[in-house]
Amino acid sequence: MSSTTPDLRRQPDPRRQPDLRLVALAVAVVVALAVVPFVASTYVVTVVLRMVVLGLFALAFNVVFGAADMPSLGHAALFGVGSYACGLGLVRWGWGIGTVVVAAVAVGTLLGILMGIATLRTQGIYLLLLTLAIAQAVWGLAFQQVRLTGGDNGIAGIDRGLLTLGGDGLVGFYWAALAVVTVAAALLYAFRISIVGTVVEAVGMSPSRLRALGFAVGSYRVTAFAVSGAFSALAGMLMAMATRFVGPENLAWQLSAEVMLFAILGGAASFAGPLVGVVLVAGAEVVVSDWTDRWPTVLGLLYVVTLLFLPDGVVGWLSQWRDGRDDPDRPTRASRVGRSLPPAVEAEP
Amino acid sequence: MIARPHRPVRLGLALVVSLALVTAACAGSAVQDEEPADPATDASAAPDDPDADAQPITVGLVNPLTGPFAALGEDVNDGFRLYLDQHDGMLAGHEVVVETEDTANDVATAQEAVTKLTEDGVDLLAGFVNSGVTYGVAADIVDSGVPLVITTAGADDLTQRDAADNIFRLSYTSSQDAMPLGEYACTELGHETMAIIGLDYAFGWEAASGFATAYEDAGCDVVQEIYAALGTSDWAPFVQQIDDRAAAVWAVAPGSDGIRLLQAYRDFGVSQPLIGHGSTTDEQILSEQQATADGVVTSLHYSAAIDSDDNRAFVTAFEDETGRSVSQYAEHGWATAQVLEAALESIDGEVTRETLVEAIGGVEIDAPRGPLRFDEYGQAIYTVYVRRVAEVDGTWVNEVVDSYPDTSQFWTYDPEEFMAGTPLAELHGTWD
Repeated sequence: MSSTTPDLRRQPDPRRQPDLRLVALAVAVVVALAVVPFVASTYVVTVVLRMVVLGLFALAFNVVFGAADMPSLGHAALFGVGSYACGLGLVRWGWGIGTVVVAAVAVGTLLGILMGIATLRTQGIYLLLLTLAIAQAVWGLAFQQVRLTGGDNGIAGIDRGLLTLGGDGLVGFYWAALAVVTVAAALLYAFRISIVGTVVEAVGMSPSRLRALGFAVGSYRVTAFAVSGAFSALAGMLMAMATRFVGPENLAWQLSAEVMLFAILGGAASFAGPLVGVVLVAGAEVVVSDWTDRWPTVLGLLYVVTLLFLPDGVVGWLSQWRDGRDDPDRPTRASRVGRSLPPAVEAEP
Repeated sequence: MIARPHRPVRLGLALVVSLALVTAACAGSAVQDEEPADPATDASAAPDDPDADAQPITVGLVNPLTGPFAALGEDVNDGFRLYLDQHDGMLAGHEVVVETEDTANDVATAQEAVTKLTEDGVDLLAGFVNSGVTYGVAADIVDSGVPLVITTAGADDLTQRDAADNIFRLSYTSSQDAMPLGEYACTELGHETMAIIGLDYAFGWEAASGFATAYEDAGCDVVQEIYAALGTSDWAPFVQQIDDRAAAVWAVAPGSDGIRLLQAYRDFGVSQPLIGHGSTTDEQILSEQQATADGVVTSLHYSAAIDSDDNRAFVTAFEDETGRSVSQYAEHGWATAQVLEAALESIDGEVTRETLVEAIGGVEIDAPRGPLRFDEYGQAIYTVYVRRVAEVDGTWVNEVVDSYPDTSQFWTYDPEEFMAGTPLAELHGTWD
C-alpha cells in the first residue's frame, strides 16, 4: 500500500470481498420473507410486497446517492418509466412479460445515461435541481399524453398473473417479485464490490482526487446512473404489477423525495442501510396511520428528529455507537459532503 | 465501506431501533387521537340491543382524510355518519358498523386500505375522491365482489367503458352535470359563442368536452379553450387570453383554483358573463368567493338551496352537527346511507355481497338532491340543477333557476354510440 497509484486489480482490498455475514443475514431475511404468505393475512402480504419492491428501488437509488454521492431528486422518473413500460406494454400493446422486462430495464438504463450525461458538470444542489427538472418533464409527458397514458387516470388492468411463482394471484406474484428482487439485489451488491463499483464510490468521496489519479470521473458517474436506472426501472415495473396500476404518481417528485428519505434515514453509507429506511418509513406509515388521522404530522416530526440527531441514518448511528463515539477519524456523511478526504486514506503514509 | 465487518449486527440493531421509533410515534399520537371525537371508528355508537335476527352490516368508508382532498373526504364521511346517527345506528333493522380508512390520495395506500377492509369482511365500501386512485383499486374491488359506492371520483369511464357489476356511483361523472348547461347556455341563455377556461387534468377535460358536445350539438360554437395547471396561483395570464369573439365564458375550476380564477376574472374586468361547472362555485368555496361569484350560472346535481323538505332536513342537521355549511360531498355521504337503507329493506333473507349488489342496483331513493336511481352501468340518474349565485340574507348561495330531471350520464345520447365515440378527455383542445 505504499504506492499512491492504485492498481485495484492486484490488491486484495477488503472493500471488494463480499461480507459473508451480510450475505448470511440476507439469506435469512429472504427465507423469512418467503414464508410470510403462510403465516400472515393478505393485507400483511400487500404491505410487505410494497416494502420489498421499494427496497429494490432504494438499493438502486443508493448507487447514485450513497455510493457516488450525487443527490438525485429525479429517481421517480427512472422508477416510473419502468412502470409505464409495463403498463403500456402489457395493456396497450399486448407484449409478453419477457419483452416488458427487457424494455423496462432498457428504457431505465437509457434514461439513467441521459440523466448522468445531463448532470455531468453539476454537484450538490445543482445536480438535485437538474435531475428534478428532468423527472418533472417525464411526469408532464405521462400526464399530458392522455391517449397513450390515460393522463392522471393512469392505466389499470395490468395482469400480475404473468409473473408468478408457485402460487395463485397475489401470493404467486409476491414470491416471483421476491425472487426478482433477491437476484437484483445480489447483482447490485456484486456491482458495488466490483472494481467499477469501488471506483464509483471513490468518485463519490473525492472526484478531484480520482481525476488527479487519471480516472475518467464522468464515465463512472454516468455508469452509476445507468446501473441505478436499470434497477430502478425494474422496481418500477414490479410496482406496476403489484398495484396492477400505473399513474403519474409513479413518476411524481414526492416519490423521489421518499426514496431519498429511505436512504438518509436508514443510512446511505452502507449497502443495506436504505432497506432499513424502507422498513422504517413504510412500516411507520402503516402502524401510525392505524393510530391516528394525523399520521403525516407524526411521521414528519419523526423524520425531523431523526435527521437532527441521526444525520448518518439509523445504521450509521448504530455503527457509531458500536465503534465508540470518540473516534474522530470515523468518516461521516457530513465530512464526505464537505469533500474532505476519508481519514482512513489520509492516515496512510 | 460496504464490507466492513459486523454489519449484520448493526442491521439487527437498526431493526430494533426502527421498532422503537415506531412505538414512540404511536405513543405521541395517542393524544391527538382523543381530540377529534370520532364516532365512526368505534362501534359503540350503535345501540346495545340490535335486532336479534338481523345481522350487523359493516361499511368501510375509504376517503382521503389527509392531503389536498381531505375536506371532501371528511364531508362525505360526516354526511354518512350523520344519517346513521339520526337512525340510532340502525338501518332497516340492521345494526350498521362503520370503519374508516384514509386513502391519503395514493394508490398503494388505498389498496392496502381496501385489502384490510375486505379481509375484515365489510359488506359495503363507499368513498374515493381521486379518479386515478379509484382506477387503481377497481381491480381489487371487482375481485372481492364487495359493492362499492363511489361518492366523488368523476372519471367517466368508471361507469362507462370500465363499468363493473359491483361498482356504483352516486356522484357525477365528470361530464354528466356539464352537458345540460351546454344546451341551456345555447338555447335559454342565448350565448352563441363560448370560451372554455378550465383545469388541465382529466376531470377538467371531460367536463369541458361534455359541455362542448352538448353546446355545439345545440347549434352554438366553442371558439376558444384555455387550460391551466392544477393549483395555478396566478390566473391573470389565462384570463387575459380570453377572446373577444366569445359571447360568454364557461369555467371548470374546483377548489382553491375556483377562488383564484374568479378573483382574476373580476380584477381584470372581463366583460363576458361567466357560467361554469357547478364545482366551480361549490358551497365549500362560495363563502370565500363571495361577490366575485355574483351572478355566475352553473349546473350541478345539488345545491344547498334546493327547496324541499328532504333537503332542508339534511341541511339543518348537518349544519347543526358540524358547524360547517353543507356541500355536494356531504350530500353524497348522506345519500349513500339512504341507498344502503333502501337496499337492505329490499333484501329478503341473508345479506350477502351478491344480494347487496343486486339490491343497490334496484334502489330508488329521495335524496336531498331529489329522486335518485342507478342506470344499468351503475351510474346515478338524478336531477341536474341550473343554479345562479346570489346573496340571500347576507349569505352567498347557489339559487336554483331551472332543472333537468332524470339526467343520465349519457345526456340525450344513445349509450352504445356515446361509448363507441372518442373518450371525452381526448377531445380537449379540439373544440376551438
